[in-house]
Amino acid sequence: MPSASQLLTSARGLLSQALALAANRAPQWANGDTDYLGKIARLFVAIWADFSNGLRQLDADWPPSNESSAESLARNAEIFGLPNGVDGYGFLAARPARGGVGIAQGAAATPIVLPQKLFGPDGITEFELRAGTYVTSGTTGTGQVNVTIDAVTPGVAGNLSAGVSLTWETQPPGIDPTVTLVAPLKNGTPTEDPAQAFARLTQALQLPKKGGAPQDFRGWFEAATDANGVPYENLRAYGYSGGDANAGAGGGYDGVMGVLAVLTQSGSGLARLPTVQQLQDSVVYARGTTAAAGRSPICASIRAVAPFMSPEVTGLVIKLRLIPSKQLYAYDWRRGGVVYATDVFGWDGVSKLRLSGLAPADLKLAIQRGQLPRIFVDTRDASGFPTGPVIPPMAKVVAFADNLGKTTLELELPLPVGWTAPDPAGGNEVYAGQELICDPAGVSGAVGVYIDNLGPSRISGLQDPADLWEDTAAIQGGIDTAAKNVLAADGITPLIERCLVGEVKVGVGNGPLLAQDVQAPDNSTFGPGLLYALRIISSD
Amino acid sequence: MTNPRDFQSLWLRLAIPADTYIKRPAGYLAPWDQQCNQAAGSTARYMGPIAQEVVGGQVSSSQSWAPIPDTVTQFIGVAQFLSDPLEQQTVAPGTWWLTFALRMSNAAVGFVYRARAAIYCMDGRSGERRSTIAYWNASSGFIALTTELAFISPVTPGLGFEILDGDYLELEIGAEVENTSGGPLAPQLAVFCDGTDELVGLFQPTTSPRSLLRPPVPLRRLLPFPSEQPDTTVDLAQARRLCLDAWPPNTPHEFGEPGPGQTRSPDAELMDWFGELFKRFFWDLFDTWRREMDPGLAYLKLSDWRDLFQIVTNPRRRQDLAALVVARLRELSQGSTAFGIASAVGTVLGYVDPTQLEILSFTPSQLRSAVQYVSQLPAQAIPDAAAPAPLRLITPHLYDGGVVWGSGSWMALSFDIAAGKAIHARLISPDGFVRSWSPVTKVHEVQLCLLYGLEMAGRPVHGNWTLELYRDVGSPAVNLNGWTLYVPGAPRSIGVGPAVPPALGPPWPLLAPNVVPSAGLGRWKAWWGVYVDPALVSKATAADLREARNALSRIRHAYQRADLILTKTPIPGTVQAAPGSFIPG
Repeated sequence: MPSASQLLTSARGLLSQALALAANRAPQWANGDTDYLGKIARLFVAIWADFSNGLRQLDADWPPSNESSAESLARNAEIFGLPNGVDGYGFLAARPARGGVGIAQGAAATPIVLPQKLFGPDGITEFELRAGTYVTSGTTGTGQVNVTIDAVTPGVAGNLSAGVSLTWETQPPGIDPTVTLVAPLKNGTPTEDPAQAFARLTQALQLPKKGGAPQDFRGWFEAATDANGVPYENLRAYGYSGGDANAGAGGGYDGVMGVLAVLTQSGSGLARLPTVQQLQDSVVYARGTTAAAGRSPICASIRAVAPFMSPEVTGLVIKLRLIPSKQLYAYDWRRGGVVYATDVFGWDGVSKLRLSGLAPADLKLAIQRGQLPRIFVDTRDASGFPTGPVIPPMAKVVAFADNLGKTTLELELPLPVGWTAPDPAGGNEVYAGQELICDPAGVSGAVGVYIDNLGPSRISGLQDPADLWEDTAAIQGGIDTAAKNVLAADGITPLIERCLVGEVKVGVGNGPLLAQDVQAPDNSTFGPGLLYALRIISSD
Repeated sequence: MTNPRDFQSLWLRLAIPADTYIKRPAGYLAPWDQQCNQAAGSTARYMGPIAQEVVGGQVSSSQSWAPIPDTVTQFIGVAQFLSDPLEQQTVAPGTWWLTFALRMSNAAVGFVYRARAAIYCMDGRSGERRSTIAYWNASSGFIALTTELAFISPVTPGLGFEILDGDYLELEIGAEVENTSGGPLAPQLAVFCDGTDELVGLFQPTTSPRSLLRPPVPLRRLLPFPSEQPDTTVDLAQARRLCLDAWPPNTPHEFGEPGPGQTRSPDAELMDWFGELFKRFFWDLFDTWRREMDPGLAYLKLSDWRDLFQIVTNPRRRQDLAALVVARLRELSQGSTAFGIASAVGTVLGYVDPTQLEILSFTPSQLRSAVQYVSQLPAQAIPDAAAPAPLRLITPHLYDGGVVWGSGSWMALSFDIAAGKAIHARLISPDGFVRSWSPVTKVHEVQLCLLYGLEMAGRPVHGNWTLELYRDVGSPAVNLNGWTLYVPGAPRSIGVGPAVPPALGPPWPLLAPNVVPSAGLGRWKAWWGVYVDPALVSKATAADLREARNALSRIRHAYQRADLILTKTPIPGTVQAAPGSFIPG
């Protein structure tokens, strides 16, 4: 709460004080509601109350805070020179979507003369063909040509997915009246909201630009653009210009005069690796080339590297055993701490999965009752590394058969998307499923999101001192908390009551699962490592 | 207490009159037999959250008291204190603490006294009693000591009470004097307040008591400031005048001051009230607001700035927090120049004049001596051109990953005789590039020649440098006495290794991309430090130094190193000597 506002009293207190002052200064005057002085006092209080509201807003507006008015934030964004994305200052202006590809069809060998405009399905949002040469294919009959389409209308309305049809404003001669997108238009953004602007403003004030300070390099790397000058979305640069001996002094990963950043993009797992083009463009954007000035900071070397991500070293297998918060979220059958595994050549390649032993009675009972209990398999390869999706898909069991001390489960067809065959050598563990908890949108997914938000290793101590990020997959306060914070669809009820003590475990690669935190490693040869999930198992 | 208007300590301030804007009581409320009217009623004194800070500056209240007849006990009221107007609150029963000092300098056996006090809640609109909180003996028994003594007394009323908006508290302190001396005696009784001694024990001798009334719960002022607003832009008379000037002209009212012998007219009183109202709630508030809007002067809004900048340190002194905020603002207004660094870091460290901050770095000559190679070989004869091979000297493996700066190489050759016109030199960089001087001088013979090789710019420093010398056939024999090579390089990471493309995943290349690890003779060139001079720093807590280091980490460029240097004469193992930090030569 802005602090100076607390100096202001309530209207009621003010009236009492005004009348008390009158008692001291004007004792000959009556001060009731209908008396002259009393009326004046109440007039004063009414005006002052309104005035004090203005003061309170003034207090909230300066210095900028999360209680500042949008108007004040917009003013400050302009005063402090926050770029608005269109060669000006202030809130980020809405940006049009770009980069869609559509198929224009018509008579063969028909050129499309530019400029050409199109309208989206709403009939309002305007698009245009990007500069280029477009001629339909073929020489006779019909032909088609891929056209690159950018939105003209700024905002999210231009974000259209593949399959959507656009209509020409003026149909080019010989061309069909609609163009169907085969690649989506993306990155159309609305006008920045005040909360985002406040975050940018805070960042700018806390870490002012210095033309080459660590915060500047981070900004440059993340603002990199592609060959068309279009900014990459969702890049995150982790700077390593810090110092080891004298905290924050510098010296950095590449030594004095060298600047290093680890670049990632938002995503999950290995999708967080940047592309080679993004790495190169980031460096070019910051450093410049003989053809383009870039930011041209003073230093001898600039490097943007990908984080070191290797299944053996930074890949994580995470297993939680937990207790659902209510019966509604109970597992389909009870597995507990008992291990059930696939048998040697236990998967018939179609729908039958044989266990190495007998299935538990309650799984069988659920099958017999037609409840279609779910299972999922922690599929591994011969070396013990997880195979298939990070969160194994759940399959429903429709029947079972016991034979020679082994149970064969028959799974419902079609199999779930992402179903992966277990290792023919057997030994892949089978777990009980739960519709919400084990789903990518449930507990398992929340743990995955937590892992995907970790940053690269800070073990070297050379990271930028003013840039704080987590590099450790933590049991308490990390995985455990992410799991417990997941709410059911009602937005109130937690899905789980708690994780079993000592049963939240993390393993690296094909190593053993241990109930201890794992910090991202840094072997200094390939740079800081970044943890990512190979497998997440939410079990009962 | 989070609201700045909250307070729980009411210091008894004899030196400060009660607020001018409250309706004061007509006089004492407790049944005193004798009363000191110099500190009561219209001359009552102030109690509130403004503590005395002048050491030894106690103030007393007393008067010439009437004699107390023999065998009579009298209650004597010595001083009356009034608080600021308060906001509405219900105060539950609880213990109140009162500390003050009394002296009866003619006390004796048969003429004894004990402290007595009373607390009331007063109606702010009438100046009359709203409720009696307590009236009690503030010391256990009668005493006959003549020195100034402290009285500490808790009192727990059995009932709570209600404060309405605009009410204030009233405290009366005095004594109960018992005379059995055999004749009438006038007590020489005085109350003492406004001192700086903490009163911690009953009958503690003192000459500067810090007198205090502490209610059981925090109270909240109605006005933004305690007592009178200091250094006001507009005083009460000016406020009244401004209101009067703004009143429409030709109004047939008597707003002016009364003439001699006249009573104040109701209209004048109305204008008095206007003046008071606008002064307290506009001009005085604006004074406060203006102060709060200035981060260098603010009290309350410093916490807002602290939130904005996420300053971790929370100094106790206002000016220390203000310095941290001002330093952050100066970071915004200054580049990473020496002046800019001083303006921010010097302010963090509490320098009175931040520009006195000493920024240490290597001078060019220090730098040169640090990174130049000086041959340690004895004098060598320079062969003539007919010899099978020239004199070839190879440096040790210079361990520096940078490239030679744009200034190129610099080399000094020292001969035992004046020579040069017949001497030819070749300098070969680690990558085989050759720069020749043939001959090394063309006009004069010299014993010391300096050779600049601009062409060496961009060549790798890292590796062995080779010098080859020979002289013309038939020229005088000459020895090379000394050789100094200066090839200033820079970083440890530069594209001198094999070109390795960025690696995205397995298989990982055997060579790390473009890094020569552990090199770095040239590192010092962008390495500087700020010296924390103990003679200039206002304080040096670990937290302050942390803030200074944080400031350096934001100000320095990413390729630089900037240390906070705590001593110029480091002794390893002491806290001032940060291992590895920059220690000037």
